[in-house]
Amino acid sequence: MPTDLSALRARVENAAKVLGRCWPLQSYIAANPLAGLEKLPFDEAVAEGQALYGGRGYPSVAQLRAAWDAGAINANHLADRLEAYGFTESPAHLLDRMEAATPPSVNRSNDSLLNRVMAKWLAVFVDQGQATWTMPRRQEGFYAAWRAVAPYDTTLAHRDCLHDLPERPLEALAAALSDVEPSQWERVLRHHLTALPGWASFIKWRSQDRHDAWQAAHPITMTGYLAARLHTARAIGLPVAPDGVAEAAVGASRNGRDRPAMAAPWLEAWEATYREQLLHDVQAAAATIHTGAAPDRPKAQLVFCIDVRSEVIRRHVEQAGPYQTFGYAGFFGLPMQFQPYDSDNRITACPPIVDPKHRIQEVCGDHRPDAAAAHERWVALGRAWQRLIKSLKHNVAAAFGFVEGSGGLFGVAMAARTLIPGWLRTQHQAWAKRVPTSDTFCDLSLDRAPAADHADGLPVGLSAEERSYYAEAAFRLMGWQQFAPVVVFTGHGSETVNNPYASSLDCGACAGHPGGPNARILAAICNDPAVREVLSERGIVIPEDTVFLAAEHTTTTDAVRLFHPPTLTERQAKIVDQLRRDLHTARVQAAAERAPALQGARRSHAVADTARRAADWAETRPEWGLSGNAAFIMAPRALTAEFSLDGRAFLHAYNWQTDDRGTALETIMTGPLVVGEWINMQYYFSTVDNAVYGSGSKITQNVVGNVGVWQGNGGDLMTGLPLQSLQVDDATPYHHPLRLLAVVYAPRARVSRVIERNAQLRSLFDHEWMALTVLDPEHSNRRYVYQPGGTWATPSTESRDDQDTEPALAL
Amino acid sequence: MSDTSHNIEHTLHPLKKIEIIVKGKREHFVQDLLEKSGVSGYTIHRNVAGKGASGFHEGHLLFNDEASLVMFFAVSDQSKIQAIINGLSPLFESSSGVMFVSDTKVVRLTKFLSAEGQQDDGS
Amino acid sequence: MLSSFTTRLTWLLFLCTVGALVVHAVAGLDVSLGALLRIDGLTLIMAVVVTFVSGIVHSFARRYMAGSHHGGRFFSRLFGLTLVVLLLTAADHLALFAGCWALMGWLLADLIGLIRGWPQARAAARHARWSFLGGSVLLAAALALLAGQTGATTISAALSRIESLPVGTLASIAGLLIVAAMIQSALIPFHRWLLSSMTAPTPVSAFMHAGLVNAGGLLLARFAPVVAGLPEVMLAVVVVGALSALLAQAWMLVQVDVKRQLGCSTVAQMGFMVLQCGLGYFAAAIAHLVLHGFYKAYLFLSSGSTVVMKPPGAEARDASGGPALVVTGLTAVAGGGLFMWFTGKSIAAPDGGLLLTLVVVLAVLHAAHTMLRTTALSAPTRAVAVPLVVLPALALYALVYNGIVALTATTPMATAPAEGSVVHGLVGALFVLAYIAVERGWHLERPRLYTLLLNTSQPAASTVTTHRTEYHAH
Repeated sequence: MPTDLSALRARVENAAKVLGRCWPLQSYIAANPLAGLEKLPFDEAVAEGQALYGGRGYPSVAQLRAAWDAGAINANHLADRLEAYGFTESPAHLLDRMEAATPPSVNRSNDSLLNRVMAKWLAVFVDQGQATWTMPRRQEGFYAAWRAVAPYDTTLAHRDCLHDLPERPLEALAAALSDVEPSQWERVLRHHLTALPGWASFIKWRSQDRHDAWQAAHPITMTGYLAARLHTARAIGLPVAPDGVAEAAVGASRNGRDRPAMAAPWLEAWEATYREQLLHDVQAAAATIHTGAAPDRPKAQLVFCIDVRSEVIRRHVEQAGPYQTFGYAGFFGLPMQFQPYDSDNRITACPPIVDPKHRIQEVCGDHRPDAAAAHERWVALGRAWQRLIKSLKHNVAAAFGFVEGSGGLFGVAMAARTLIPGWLRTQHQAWAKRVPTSDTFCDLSLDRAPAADHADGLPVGLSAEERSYYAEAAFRLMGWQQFAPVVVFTGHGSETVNNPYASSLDCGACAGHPGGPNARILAAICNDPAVREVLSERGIVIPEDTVFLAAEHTTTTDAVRLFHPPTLTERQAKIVDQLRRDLHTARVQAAAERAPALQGARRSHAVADTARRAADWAETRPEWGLSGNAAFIMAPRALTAEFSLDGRAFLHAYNWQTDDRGTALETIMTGPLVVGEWINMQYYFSTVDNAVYGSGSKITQNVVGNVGVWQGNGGDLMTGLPLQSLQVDDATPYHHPLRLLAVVYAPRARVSRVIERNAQLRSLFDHEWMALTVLDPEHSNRRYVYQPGGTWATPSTESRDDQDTEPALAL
Repeated sequence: MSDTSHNIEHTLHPLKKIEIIVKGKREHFVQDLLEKSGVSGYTIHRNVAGKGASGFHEGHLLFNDEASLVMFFAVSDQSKIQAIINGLSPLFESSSGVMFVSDTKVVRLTKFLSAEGQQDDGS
Repeated sequence: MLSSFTTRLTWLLFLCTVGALVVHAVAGLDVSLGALLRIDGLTLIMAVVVTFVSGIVHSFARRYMAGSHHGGRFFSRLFGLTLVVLLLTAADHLALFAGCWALMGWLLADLIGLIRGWPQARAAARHARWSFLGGSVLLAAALALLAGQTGATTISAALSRIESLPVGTLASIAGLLIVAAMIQSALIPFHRWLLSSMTAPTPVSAFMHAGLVNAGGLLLARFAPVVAGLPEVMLAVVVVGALSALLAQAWMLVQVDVKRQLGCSTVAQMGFMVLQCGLGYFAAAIAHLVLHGFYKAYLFLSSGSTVVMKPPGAEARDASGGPALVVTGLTAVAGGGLFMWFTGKSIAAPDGGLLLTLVVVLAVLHAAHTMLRTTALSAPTRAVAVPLVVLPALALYALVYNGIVALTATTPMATAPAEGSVVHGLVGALFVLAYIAVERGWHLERPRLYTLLLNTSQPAASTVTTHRTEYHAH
């Protein structure tokens, strides 16, 4: 490769750094849209976001005003923050002043045609099964396919210049840049990458994902996209390097603007108001925590995902009986791809920051051949039906007769789904009971297959060592001390129909998929006698009478379904029976608690209402998802069990007393906490600017290519969450856009050490993408607030005389 | 491998060695660069720990593969190493990472100079 | 609350129209109210369908649009539109008909641009408004000409006198009416407004594609006597309809977004409906409107359901052997025969109805073909499945069709089969050719054709949101 080409490759990589990543809708990942700017301080990064994308970085004046009027921003905190920022006017006056200020606008109107042409070709290229006639020559890659069609694209006035393009995208890109100074390449490329940020961030994800089957079949790269875009610009008659681009370096936005943003103190005061109350409650609970005497052995222990929605159901499960609950990342520590029975789909079921390392398959066991056969029959029938309908719908000649033959049925179905969705669901469930689910007759391919499928580098199954390792990791991270007779790993998923964002309601730790398979695998591992033997050698003794079960929590309805259990002793069976009943009680209570927040739901009919929402095709707010998230607590459950956290906190079990070396804490803070920050920032930015960082209103969304949505007739891909996932109505947010507060119950020095060792964490805290407060059990549960730069402060409200900041590392 | 190998006199051939340490999320880019530059073989060490300009960096993290450091180790001739240097230098202008180039000698030259650079596909 | 009120009222209207339809079916009498309204079978069929779809859309939108700041405007316009369409179906006075037509276009354009803060929605509304304005002017001109030449002020009176008109005048009126209908039904080349209308909230699209594009068919059916007497004009209608049907169905193949795919499908189905009119089967066209309305409203309302995980790779094409082909062919012919028997068509008197039968044969052929090569099902299941699916579908259609024929018995010229002609034969051949071409995959590796289809089916440039900063939810 010529050296200037290899330099160009690096320039492309550099230019793409400012972009976030956008995943396809089938596996929605909540990520920070400004992830590419996280190395900057928050305030600078959002200003940069404004300059690059035109996005708002702080809550709008209307949102602040509503929070202020509702008392969500405490007056004292606000006064404190305003003073710190040097504002002297009254809050009301400041709000008016902010309202009058017009944000700088990004004027890119001259590339409308270019954007339209690129969006057209990108959409048909990345299509995952929507069109029946797909873009010719897709398998050769985006640039090659585009090169084949572009000369015929009559929207391009000078398309003659596209006839003799180089075959390779990098050479084509170099040719397009031939009139541009190499020192300007990066800026020009960044200008083009940020023109359609939605599509560009989708390409960024796809070109980096090594396990995506669609990318393998139809590859697309940033270089290919840029080569096509720059040559399209030429063919339209636009300059490749528009005027002014050369000057627009990253950071240019820092000059000549209000700094810091006027909204910053307001956001901080809003955060402080929430955090003060939360920390007060946790600290109070910490003061009464029992140490030493072991509590009675619970009848059952349930492990839920750290997801904020688990908090509500956990509270009600604990109240329903002698049960103990834990919080653990909902992929249960298994970095795997899962291939369900009877499916060609390979589901990545681990967080986006973890690479899958195994593939587990659901394979038909030999214990219930009748069930397998029945399942097979129904599934085949269903698929044949769907295939028939799709085939008839799209056929050039048959579609007309099909419409006449089927129209009547569509009319009946439309009336039923609109008028009696709840009843339909009941009927459907009764019907579905006849079809055995795969967990009743399938085994999981846990054993390392001798002939591993190395097609994409992933071994099938787990070695004996790996199995013990994942089980040990789970119990070590949660600080497990005592095993109940029944332990249930509870994954979670959602139930919703006609919802392109269904996967945004599933488990984020499983990359937007239900967590049931992961729960089943960990339960199977823990029931393995060989694993138990290894664990007991390592000091984790699981009693003979303990059995591990798997379950799935449906967050829409709060129903918890236990998967087909292994053979149970009489005592275990009794406990499980009682648990089933208590889980139902908990469901009723949890649904009633959530009812007031869901518009139009009544507490007394909460269960029926949640069931209706789960099955109603007209429902745009089936549940609130992770809306409200604002804190991430790493502590024993005792610190949070006695009060309601309103479903706003991620809860990860952590026991500082069993983690002397801090490895568990390090794993939690570098793994689940970082994912929590991604989720929190996604909700934050989607709320503060739903057009630029969110995906707009569901009512005008249009699903494109089976991978994303655009608004109305087309254009840029809309990334982020839809308005209805965040707002009660067009103007009122349900989600409070607050940055995440991490709370750790551990000695401060240990926390310092973890931060010191991990640059990514340090950067997130130092640049105020999230905040950190430590409750130090070795210093009478005193609060230590992490300060950017690595020092700690103790809040003035707590102790006036302890205000000195201390070095982060107590050496 | 080949029966004739013991007949060859074990002369040492001068070549260049390059060591590259980058963040885990750049692994793909570097791998691509090495292959497109015609470096036929290389070694990857994942989860490298160490201390540098941006402080200490922890090696193995159980639940985070993106934050880890990756080290590449490759040997090739001057021209290919130069292409790699050119392809990496711009990257280090704005993100952390290091590379070291040194002289080295190898016994079986063909092992290191066999492959031509892989061409880009049309993606 | 407004939405609750209009929803109840719409369902009440639905019940009333169903009642009236039953009475009409039993008594078989048309009711005239002065010179303004005339309620006949066609009125009541369209009224039942419109109030039904409007009721569904109302009920759906009460949940779907919850929290939208446009609720008030949405429900008032939706209900207003329902009333206007009801009035249109019953209008007998020519001026009333033209007035309702214009108002319908105005309200619909307003709903397309419901989200006023969004420039692309406003542009789409503008685009639609100009199209409808053009259509309304053409219609007004046609009706004015009709009134001037016949001296009548009502549709019924005018239609009873058209035989006295010179052919040239009649052809001009017919031409104006046909173009007005083509605009309303978004036939090529007047499809652009429909393919640019996805800025409308989903329920608006459902109502639009299930109710309002149908007005073109209503227009042709209402004024059937004007058109049906001119064989050349009828042939032109057949050609215009067939081109829209096939070309838009081909457009649909290349679309990747759900709503535009549905939009292309509507253009195609409307083309087919106009084709049926051109064959003189106005009642069949009405049946098609009704059934397509249900079909399309359902698909729009469920347009959020398409996101499913699929592995890449072409659909497995199972080989189908000789015996299967024979079975497929026989089933298709049997289906066609059954269709002719059910709908009272005679092979002995070949007319345009043969073309309709051909379309049914192709549909049955394709269904049987698809079923029989689904090897995941056992052979007996496959064999049983074909008649099990095809028979009820044919019976259901026959029920609707025959019902409409009976109900429109008093509407002039509801069924006036055109003589068979070479053009019909050519159109039929075109359908068969298109079917074979797509089945054999002749189109697949043709970048030029692909680009042509993709480019010609794009929405108007000003209605595409090329910068996210321009999008506004309200």
